[in-house]
Amino acid sequence: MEQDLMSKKELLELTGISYGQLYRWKRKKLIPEEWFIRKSTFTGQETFFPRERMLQRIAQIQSMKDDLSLDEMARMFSPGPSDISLSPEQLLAQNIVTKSALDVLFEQHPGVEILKFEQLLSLYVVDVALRTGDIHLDDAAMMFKTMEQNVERFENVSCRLLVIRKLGVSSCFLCSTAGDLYFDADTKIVMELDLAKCIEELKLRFM
Amino acid sequence: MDDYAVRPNLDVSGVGSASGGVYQNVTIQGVSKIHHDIDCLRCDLEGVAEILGHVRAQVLSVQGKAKIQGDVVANEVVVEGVTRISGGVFAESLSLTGVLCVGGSCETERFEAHGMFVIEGLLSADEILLRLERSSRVKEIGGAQIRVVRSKGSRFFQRVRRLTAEVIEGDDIYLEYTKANVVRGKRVTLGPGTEVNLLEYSSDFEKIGDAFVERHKKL
Repeated sequence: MEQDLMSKKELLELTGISYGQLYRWKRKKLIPEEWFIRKSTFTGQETFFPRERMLQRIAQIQSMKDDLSLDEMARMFSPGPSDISLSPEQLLAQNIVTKSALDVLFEQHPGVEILKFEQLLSLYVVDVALRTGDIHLDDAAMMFKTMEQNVERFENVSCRLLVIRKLGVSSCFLCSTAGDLYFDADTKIVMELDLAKCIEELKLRFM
Repeated sequence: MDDYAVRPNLDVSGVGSASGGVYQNVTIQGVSKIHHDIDCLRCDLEGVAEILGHVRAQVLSVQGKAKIQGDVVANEVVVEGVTRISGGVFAESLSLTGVLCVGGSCETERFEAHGMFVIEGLLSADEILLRLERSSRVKEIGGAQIRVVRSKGSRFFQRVRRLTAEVIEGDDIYLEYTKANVVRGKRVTLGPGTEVNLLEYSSDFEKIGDAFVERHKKL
């Protein structure tokens, strides 16, 4: 995956943070280890970061650090589940998911009252996917089922969700973020979502 | 499980072995091997101990010889003996007056060493104070305050009291008798016996004695 990288020096210059802060945040796991990308340059090894995500994360940390302790922030950014549980009505009222995503949920669990974090996450991901307009409702149901059954296997490991389509037949799967995937020419990747990012967005909604 | 009062203690004096598990206090005064992870409140290794697993403890203190084939997660780590840790060390504070070898990285809030150490990964701490005793090696150092000094005392081993590192990055850096490829920081002071290939600093740079810098630039 080609991505826009920035060097550590550039990061410190742009954001005005110090080495001490950067290393402290790394130790507290506010910045995931995978974002530290090592490349060799003519001065030896240098560390690079994915530009957009890193700048966004630093801005988030800087805006929140007055209200929250580092440990609280770490919990928020961690890909692990949190102890949030909500009812479907609250979700709709707080505008976290749309009605159509809730329909997918009710189809599988009629009359469910309280959602656990895994279900909440599955629902949120389905909602994000539906909102892009790239997937059908059938795909959404399949996504929800896949997510709900398997997402806990990826506890504390970042993973991504892919929806592929070949000759009109859709399929979806979860895999870890590391590693590339290649498909045959007829297969189209309809959607690719980074779950760590979704979890973070979801947790931010509750702050 | 978090109720420390109901956990049993593990005491080994003499020669013995244990399978590991959840304990309140672990004390080893003889020669012993622990075959799996241990999770305890206080872990005192005073004899020769080999742990084939991770160690999670509030306080880990080594006064003899210890070999840990895994990670150490603790609040406080005190090493007064010879310790070899194959994994990483994650602690609030670490104080060393012996020999420490870490196979992974060492991430603490405070790191104070008065001994010899080899860290194959990153040494990261807010406050790093290294008093060199014999030759030590770290791959990378990163933190807010970094201070490396050669310990006083007997002149006998003075020549070999050196630190070698590839990269040192911090806000306030003071180095003595250190050989580093790259040093980056805000305020950097290079004391006697330092050898740096590339220095990048953003506010101040001072050179004391025979410090040698091949290239330096202000950012």
